[in-house]
Amino acid sequence: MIVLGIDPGIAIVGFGLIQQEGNHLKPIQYGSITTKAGLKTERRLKQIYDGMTQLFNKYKPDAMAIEKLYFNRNVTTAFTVGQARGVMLLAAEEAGVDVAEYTPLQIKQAVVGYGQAEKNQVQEMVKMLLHLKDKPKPDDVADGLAVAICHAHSAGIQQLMTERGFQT
Amino acid sequence: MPLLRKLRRLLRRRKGLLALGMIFMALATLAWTLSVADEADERQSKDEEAVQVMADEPFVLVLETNYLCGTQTEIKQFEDEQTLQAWIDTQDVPWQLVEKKDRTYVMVHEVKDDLAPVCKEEGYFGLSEDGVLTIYQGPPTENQVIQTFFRIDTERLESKLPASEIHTLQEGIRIRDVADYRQVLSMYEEFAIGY
Repeated sequence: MIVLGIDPGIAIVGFGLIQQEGNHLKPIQYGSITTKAGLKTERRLKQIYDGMTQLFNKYKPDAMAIEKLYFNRNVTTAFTVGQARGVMLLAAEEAGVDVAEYTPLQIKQAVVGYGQAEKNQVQEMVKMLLHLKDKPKPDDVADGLAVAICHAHSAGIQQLMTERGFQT
Repeated sequence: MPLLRKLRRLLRRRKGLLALGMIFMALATLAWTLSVADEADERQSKDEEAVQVMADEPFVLVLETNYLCGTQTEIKQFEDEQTLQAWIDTQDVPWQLVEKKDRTYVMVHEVKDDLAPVCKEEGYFGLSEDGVLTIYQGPPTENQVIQTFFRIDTERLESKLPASEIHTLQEGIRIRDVADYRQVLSMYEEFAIGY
């Protein structure tokens, strides 16, 4: 199974593509979709949409996992990132890819084993789990990979529960 | 009429001003055109750099085996060029390199005495809508073309063969091996237009 993990944003969208083979996780590609601050919002959204479509066409993921948003201060930022999330979900739907959403707490729990883990701990774990030489930079890229790892683990557990007859 | 005359007189007097206005208009149009072109260029370059990847892309080896009927394609990925080359060196099959572009290698191998697995498992001879003898994957009604041959003179076919034979061809003649393939082909070859 190939999972595309997304850390949504309007300036930087971090993404990580990993392949799950049994218990083994292998990084396929990771990086970012960046848009320039001076551009109109609609143009930036179009660039994100095109970038996402490019990823779906090239790597053909089986699932997309995306981080849920929590904002309590800057409402304007929340709206813009919400719009960016919208085009990402649209691109996934057009590509016929299932989408799963996880809270930052769930992601940290799945990657580090502790929901209140710090950013640096998450990055270290991503590096270790995927056998990377360095911590992926910027943070958004590491976060994209973390979301993908979270989904790979959750999907594995879900499959196990289905096989053993538990309802999810 | 007096109004028109007045306007003419005014234009004659203000000839210089009119010329200046026209020059200004032309310059404004030129500036706008250039800014639109710049914006389009800027857009294009910004779109191109939107996706940045960090991991090295794998080396892709596309292996195409061309059979008497059909082609089988296998795609392999290697972490580096040395591993890819080492894999090729271990092969007994005489692969020919036909394309090398960036990190993708395309190699071809011809097998002219066998059918591709797809032809053996699901191959049917049939007639296309425009009368071309064709091999399909599955019955001709599903229209999944594998290979096309020649246009058939259907009038001559109808006059020479019993209706049941033509009906069988239209429904699809199943082939399972090279003998089936050659038999059907030789049977209909004489009805090829220009044969």
